[in-house]
Amino acid sequence: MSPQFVDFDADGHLDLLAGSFGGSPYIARGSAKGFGQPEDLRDGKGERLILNQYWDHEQEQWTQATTWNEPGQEPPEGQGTSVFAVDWDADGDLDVLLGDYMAGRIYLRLNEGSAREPRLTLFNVAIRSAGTPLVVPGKVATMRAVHWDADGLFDLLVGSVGKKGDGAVYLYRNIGKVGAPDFGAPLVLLAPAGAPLTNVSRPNHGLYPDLFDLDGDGDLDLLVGGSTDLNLPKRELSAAEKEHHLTQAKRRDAAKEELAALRAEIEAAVKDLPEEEATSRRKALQQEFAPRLRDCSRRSAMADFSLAPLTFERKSYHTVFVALNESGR
Amino acid sequence: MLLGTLGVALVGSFAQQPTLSFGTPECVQAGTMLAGIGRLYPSPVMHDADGDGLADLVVGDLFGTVTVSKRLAGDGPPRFGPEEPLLASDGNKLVFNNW
Repeated sequence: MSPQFVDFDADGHLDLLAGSFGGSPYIARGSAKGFGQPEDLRDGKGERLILNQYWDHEQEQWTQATTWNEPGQEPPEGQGTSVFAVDWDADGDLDVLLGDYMAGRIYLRLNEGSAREPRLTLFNVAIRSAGTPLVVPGKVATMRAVHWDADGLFDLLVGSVGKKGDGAVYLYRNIGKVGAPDFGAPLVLLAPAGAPLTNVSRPNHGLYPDLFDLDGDGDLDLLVGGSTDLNLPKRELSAAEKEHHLTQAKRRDAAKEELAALRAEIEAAVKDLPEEEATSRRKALQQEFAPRLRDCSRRSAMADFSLAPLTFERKSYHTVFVALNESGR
Repeated sequence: MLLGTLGVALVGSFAQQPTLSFGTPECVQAGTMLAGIGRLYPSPVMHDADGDGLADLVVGDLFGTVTVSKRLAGDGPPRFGPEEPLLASDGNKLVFNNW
C-alpha cells in the first residue's frame, strides 16, 4: 500500500496517495476539513492508472489489458500495486511512478497539465537505467523518492517482493541530472536473507521501506514493514518452551474466543432484521465494536508472534522493523 | 552476510563510497503491541499527523487501512502510541479499497 502524504494538486492541503493490490492507485484528497474518502487517481482521459492486470470492480474479476502499454514496447505482464508522486522532470508539477508487482519494473506517468491541474499521460513508460528498463530483483513491493546523498537529485528507495523469501531493500542512486534522472546499480540497504529464517528477525517477503532520521543523529534510518515467512523443521521442545507455548496458546485462544463472541453478538443483534436494515445495523455495530475487535485480533497475533520459534508449520508474521543507520559510528 | 550488522553492498561505480551499515532490525513498538501486528504487509511512513512537530508512525496495509501511532514526547529513542485508524473528514475510517 505504502501511503504517501503529498500535496498532489498544489492546493495547500496534503493529500494521501496509496497503491492497492487491485492494480491501480488511490488518492484521498485533503482539504481544510481533513481527508475525503479515497477515489481513483486517474490519467488525463479520466482512466484509472493501470499496468497490465487489474481488478475490474464492475465485473468483479481480474482483467488483463495492454491498453496502456508504451507504444512500440511490449512490457512483460505488470500489476501496479504501488504509487509515488515526484517531480520527475523538474517542471514544477508532480508526476507519478507505478511499481510493478509482477515483473519488477517501475513505470512513469508524466504530468502534462500543471501543478494545480494535474493531467497524467496515458501510457506506462518504464523508467530506465543507462537506456534499458530498470528491473528490480524480486519484483517491486513499493518505491519512494528520497534524498539519500544530498546531491540535489532524488534517489529511489525500493522494497522488493521476494517470491522465495528473498525480499530486500534497495537504494537506486540518481546519477542523472535535474529533470533527467538515471540510475546505476543499487545499493543494498537490507540484503535478501541468505538462508531460511529461524525467528521473526526481519521481513523477508513483501518489504515496504521508508527512510527517516529516527534517532536524530543526522543520518537516515531504515523503517521496513512486511512479512516474515517461517517454516521451521520440527524439533522436541524443552520443558520451559512447552510451558511458554501453553501460556501463549491460552492467551491466543482466549483472544480468538473473545473475537468470535463479539462477532456472534453482532450477528445476534441483526438476525431478525430485514436484509437492508441488517446490513446497515451490522455496519454500525462493527464500527462501534471496532476498537475491541482490533484489540482481540492484535492480542491473538501478539501471542502467535511470541510462539513463532516454537511453531513448526509454514506461517507468516507481519510487523514493522527499524534498522538504525550506524555508518558514522 | 550476517543478519546482525547489515553492511551496505556497494556495486559498480559506487565502490569508492565509504562503507555504510545498518544495525540489527528491531520490531517497532506501538503502545503495548508491535506496530503492524495482526495486519497484512504493513507499510510504514513517518509523518507529523497531529501537527505537534514530531513525526508520527503511519502504517498502511494490504487491506487498505491506514493507522497513526503518535510519537510520544520525551528524550531518548522514539516511542509511539497505539495504532489508531486515520479518519476521513466524514468521521469514518479512511479505507483504500483493494479488490
